[in-house]
Amino acid sequence: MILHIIVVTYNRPLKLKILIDSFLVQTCPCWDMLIVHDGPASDETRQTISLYKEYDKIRFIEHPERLERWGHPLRKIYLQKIKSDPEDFILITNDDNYYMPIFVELMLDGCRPNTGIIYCDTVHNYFNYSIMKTEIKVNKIDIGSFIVRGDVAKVVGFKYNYHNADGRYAVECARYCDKRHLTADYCNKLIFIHN
Amino acid sequence: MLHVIITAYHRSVPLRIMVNSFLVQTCPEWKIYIIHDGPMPKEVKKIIEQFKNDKRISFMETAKRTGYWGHKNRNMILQILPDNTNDFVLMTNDDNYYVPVFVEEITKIIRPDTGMIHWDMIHSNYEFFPTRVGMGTIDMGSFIVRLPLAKKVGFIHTGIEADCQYAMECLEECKKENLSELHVPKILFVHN
Repeated sequence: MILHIIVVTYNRPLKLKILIDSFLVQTCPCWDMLIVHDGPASDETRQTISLYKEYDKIRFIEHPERLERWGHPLRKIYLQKIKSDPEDFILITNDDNYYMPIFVELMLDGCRPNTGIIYCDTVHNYFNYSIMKTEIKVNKIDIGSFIVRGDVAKVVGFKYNYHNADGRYAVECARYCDKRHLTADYCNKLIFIHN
Repeated sequence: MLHVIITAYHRSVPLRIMVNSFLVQTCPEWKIYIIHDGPMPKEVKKIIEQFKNDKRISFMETAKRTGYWGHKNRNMILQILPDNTNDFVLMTNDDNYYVPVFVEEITKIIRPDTGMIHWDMIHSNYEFFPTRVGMGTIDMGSFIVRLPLAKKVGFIHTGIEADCQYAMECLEECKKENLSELHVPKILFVHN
């Protein structure tokens, strides 16, 4: 079982470096990462990415044109393009987030055969770096705080381009899981910081 | 100015996260001093190389490993910092992470009579850890101390709880000098 991570970025190389490094020090190595730049990248961003060229599990793509909308259109495109087995999981996240070193281990260890989605609590910058208890509801869950089974994520798709489209995507994934008798599981640990 | 003393030992990528978490701070009023316990291996040197052009970051290594969780090295750097009354010192480890508003949040509440500030954290069991000064309730990296006061107290203990002892002694000294202790009820720090 692999966790496939999709990161949409736009010229924030230092922050992106922290995100990538937070995965390089994960206790569980079962992940890979696709970094998608929203339009052509700056030289500084390309230089940063070159630091990771020895890692086959990290791929970098510059989308030919900038699509903006908080990166949502690129999430939609690359969620469908990413290669994953049905039992794999997919995390979509931002370039300025931070994950604790045990994130992948705890999330994947929590997966049972019928798990469709797993979510964890968030330390959130919008709430002055206090705890956001995650719930699968619009405005109660943030992109980056949940992983979705690969086949579920692809069928549901990341459809919307408005600000809180991440919440809608989570809700639709959970509804689809329910139809397939898959569960939404909760990891009761603070393993994600949303900046 | 916030002086940040980072003790390091053979952990390259975590150290890069730690330093980068300061490079993306919203407030630039900080300086970092990395002290490696014993000669740096090449992986750590490679990481350090990435920061060599930033004058806010200095690094050194001891000739031999001293052990004791780097505590002796902390005191060595502490005692050579300038005696600036308005400055504060943070001692932390090479595998920690600070949120981007950390320096801004703590510096904006400093008053002339502030001796010490602490904030909440996520601890290595990845649960919320509300910080207060006491044995087992505060950790290295979760508090800053006014520099002259920190130097006067000194980081003199070498046991596993030396950070708590140092925090408690700093608080005692604050009381003697009529300086206040402040708490920021925000999660500004991850102790890995």
